[in-house]
Amino acid sequence: MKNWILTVALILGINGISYAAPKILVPETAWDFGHVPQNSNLRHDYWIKNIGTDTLKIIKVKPG
Amino acid sequence: MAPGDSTVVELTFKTRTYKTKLSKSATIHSNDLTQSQVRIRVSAQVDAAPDTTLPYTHTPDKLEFTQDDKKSELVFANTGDQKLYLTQVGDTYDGLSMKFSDKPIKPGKETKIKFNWKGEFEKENFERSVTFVVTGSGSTRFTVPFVVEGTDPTPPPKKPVRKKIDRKPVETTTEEKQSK
Repeated sequence: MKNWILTVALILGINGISYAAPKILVPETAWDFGHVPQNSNLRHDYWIKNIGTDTLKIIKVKPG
Repeated sequence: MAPGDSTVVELTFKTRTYKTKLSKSATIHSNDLTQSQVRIRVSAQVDAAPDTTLPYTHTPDKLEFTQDDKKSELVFANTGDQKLYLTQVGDTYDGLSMKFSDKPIKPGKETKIKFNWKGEFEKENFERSVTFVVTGSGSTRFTVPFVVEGTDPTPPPKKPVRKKIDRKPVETTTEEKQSK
């Protein structure tokens, strides 16, 4: 009986372990410039934060 | 990027000679297994001339700062029949100061937005923009691009394009091979 309880406790314990993982957070994903004149170069910065527990790698940023 | 760290992705947008509502997007790919792709988007209404359906005008539509003239002024006029409120939103820049009244602009009245570039003058042009939201008669926004003239804005000459020569391996005859 004791062994059985220990086994269950171990399984639960193992399942309870949270593995380190990166987590991306982009607070703002869309930006509207509104009315703009022609022949202008506009830029907007998007903040990216790693709210996870492991290293976040930005693999690529693909237009389109 | 370590846990807790932040970084910035910049999306650029050239309005060229478009005369329409435009939007551009990009996808950020990362090693986040729960959300490996995040789509970011910018949009704008490109006007060839001031939009007369708006309850306001602003002049000029672009600003320029030079070492000789670090100050600039934008006149915002309320051409509608309701009070308007002006708020600056989005990116701000350490080098750029701007002053304008937070009081409502009455119909038929105008206000001035005073800009002053206090930042460095880099070798190349520094091009950014400021966005304003106008409320009071619905909600619209407009963006004023600005250029901080570089000390040496001439782009470096482009390197000549080398033509690729498709060199096929020289085939040697059996006799030649044998003689080598």
